[in-house]
Amino acid sequence: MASPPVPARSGRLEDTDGDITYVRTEADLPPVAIVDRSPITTKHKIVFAIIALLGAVAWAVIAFFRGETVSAVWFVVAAVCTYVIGYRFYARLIEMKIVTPRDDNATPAEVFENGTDYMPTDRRVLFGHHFAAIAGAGPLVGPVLAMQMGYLPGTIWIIVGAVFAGCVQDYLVLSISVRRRGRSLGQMARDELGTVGGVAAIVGVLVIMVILLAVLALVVVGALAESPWGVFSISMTIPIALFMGIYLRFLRPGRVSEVSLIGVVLLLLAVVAGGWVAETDWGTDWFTLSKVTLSWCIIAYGLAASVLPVWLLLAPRDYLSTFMKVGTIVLLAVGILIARPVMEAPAISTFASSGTGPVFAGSLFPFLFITIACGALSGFHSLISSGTTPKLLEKESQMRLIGYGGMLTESFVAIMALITAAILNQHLYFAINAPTAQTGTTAQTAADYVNGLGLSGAPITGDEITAAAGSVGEESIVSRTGGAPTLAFGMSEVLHQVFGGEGLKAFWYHFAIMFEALFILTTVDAGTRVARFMLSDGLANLGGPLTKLRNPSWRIGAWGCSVIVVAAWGSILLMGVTDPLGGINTLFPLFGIANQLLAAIALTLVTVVVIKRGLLKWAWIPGVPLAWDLIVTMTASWQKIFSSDPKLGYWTQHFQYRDAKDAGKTALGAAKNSDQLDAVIRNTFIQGTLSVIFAVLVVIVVAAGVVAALKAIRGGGAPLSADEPVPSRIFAPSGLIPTPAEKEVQKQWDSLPPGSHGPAVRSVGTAAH
Amino acid sequence: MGDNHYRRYVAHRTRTHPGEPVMSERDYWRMRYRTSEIEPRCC
Repeated sequence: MASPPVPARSGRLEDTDGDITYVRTEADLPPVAIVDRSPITTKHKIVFAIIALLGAVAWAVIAFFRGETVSAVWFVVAAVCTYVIGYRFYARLIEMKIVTPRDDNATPAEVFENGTDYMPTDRRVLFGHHFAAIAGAGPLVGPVLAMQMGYLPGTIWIIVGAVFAGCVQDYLVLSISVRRRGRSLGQMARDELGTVGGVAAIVGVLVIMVILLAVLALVVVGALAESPWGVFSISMTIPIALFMGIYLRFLRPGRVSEVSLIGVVLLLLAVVAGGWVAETDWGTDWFTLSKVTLSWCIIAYGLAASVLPVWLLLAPRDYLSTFMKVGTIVLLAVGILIARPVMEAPAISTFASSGTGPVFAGSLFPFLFITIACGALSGFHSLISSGTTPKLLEKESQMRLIGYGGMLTESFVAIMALITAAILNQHLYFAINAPTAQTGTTAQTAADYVNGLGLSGAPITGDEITAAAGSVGEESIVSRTGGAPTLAFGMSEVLHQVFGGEGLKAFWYHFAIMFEALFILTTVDAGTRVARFMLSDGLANLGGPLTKLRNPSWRIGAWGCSVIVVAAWGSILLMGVTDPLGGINTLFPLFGIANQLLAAIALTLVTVVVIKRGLLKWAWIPGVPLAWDLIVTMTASWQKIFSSDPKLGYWTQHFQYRDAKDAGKTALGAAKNSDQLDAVIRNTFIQGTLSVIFAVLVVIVVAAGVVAALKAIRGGGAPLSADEPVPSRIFAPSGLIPTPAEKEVQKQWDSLPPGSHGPAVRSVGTAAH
Repeated sequence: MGDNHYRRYVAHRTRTHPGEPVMSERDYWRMRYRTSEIEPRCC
């Protein structure tokens, strides 16, 4: 049986029982870590072999089966089987070779526990928390837009990209931040890449954040413009949030789930009521807003959210959107499995190679990988994986579940979004997603335009487009670009078949719009506030009178920074909504490039840390996705900056329109008058400049990374900045389901008298509350 | 979602500062919203 405890390194006691080692940090406490070296059982081998086989069959059906009967279920099966294999084998390899979790060491959550922002949190709760923080509109919108290339390239990139790139980034960033007291990406870049790389990374994060906020706001505007029903339901979320905030502060503090449930019920009422309001004359008058008016509303909202107290607006909205997010995603998964819709889109469309699609310009490589950013690889996740999640993590071995598993879940959301776009009639899809410059805004002109695209399937008539709009309670769905309306249309298609029938189609459409707009606005308000803090931090570092910005309660500073941030994204938003060329199709690539470049910064940091730790042999694990990401983003940036095709290259387009203006022309292409001509000249200048800035910042960070890595390989260079480990004094299982050994140890901990034990305490760096 | 945060805080305080008064739930949440940073939400 068990051998007697032997003292191991620095006071740790190890008991070995067969393949399992129990590690104690104190003799009178139960073990805090279990190291399980059991080989895989035959039963598990068979189970995983069956899963792999099933996945292979599903992939074969998706890739090679042609015809109109490819069921959405195959996509779900291929995705889930690939995730299971990736999680069990690839993530495990990363865990064993790079992460090497040490559960006998305390995590930042345990070391600095203060009952407020540092708090060891149950892994299942933290999984939900982390997922809610990383998942937003990105994985929903990107796959919808990318459907113009067909369903196959998107499916492959979302699933394979997640397993080998996105999950790896999230997992490894989390693992290095956990060993550095939960430091943020920018701080870690400065520590590991030196000052120049660090500053470029911080400026990069800020600029990229601004473009993210602008493009997401643009998606909301696209979904709500000219839709009184949508505008009414979304504007009701503000009084609902205020009510929740007041309820939590004055009536029943701390009852978060209770107030969120009340909020969700009120929200559903708001969606239903939107239908009634939209049918009245006053409702149509009040809530039919133009894109420009809506943009100003969102700008005002962003500014208000950034300076109002958190408890009043931000926190309750966040609770509401978390509930809605998780609930709706589960609902959609159930809907797809029950309704089992079939694909309407082709596997690969002609736009994939020609690069002339109306939704966004450019061919499959590199623009598919730019458009589907979140869902496969998303740089923004590195902001969550560093900073927030480490402060809540109980055990290092749970990082695989939280970091890698959380991203797999997001990838699955992206697959569901892809399915909802792929099951739509293709003519309808392009009528919704082509910009007004092509569709001409009326149902008849849109029908003529999409019928001329050479799509498969029967041509569509103007009446059919109008009827489709009517079926979801809208006047028109022509050129409702941005992806959100398409997704809402697809979701209502799936959900009405399962819940409620034809009568509820319009409800589901607006429910979906509300769900997307709600969490885009949550990203916009939280993002504005976060960017404001980043800006004041950055400015304070410049010294002089700006040092005053360090004090967060200095109102003038808070207002000033908020106004700068809001003005930055607000002006890009206004530029997008008034863009004669369509807005979303010119700005979305910029958003995708920005996100992927942020991933390049995160992967550079991770690769450097892996090399500094002497694990050169395993540096390919983050290195290969980094190389791929750099090839994609640099090619895309190159084309956006230097392409001689005016549809693709911002500068070529800029000079084309400027030459036209200089030649005395007052109209060119989509620009119908001299104001529009000036707008195109200005917009392409800004977009072109931003492309250059992004690319240059990332080149600086990567160069700093290469220098740091080379120094480390040659044996010199700055040391790693990881913290001295502190022995842990708590226990928690690693995976979702506890193993028998973990259950046994948990029982020992549960039988201890309360108050006799507790986490390792070291009050460094945190104020006593 | 935060329902048990105050209970956790009380447990933490009683363990680390036994015998000292613990702030009320109302004050705890006020302090939380005042001091906690907002976390970014992703795309």
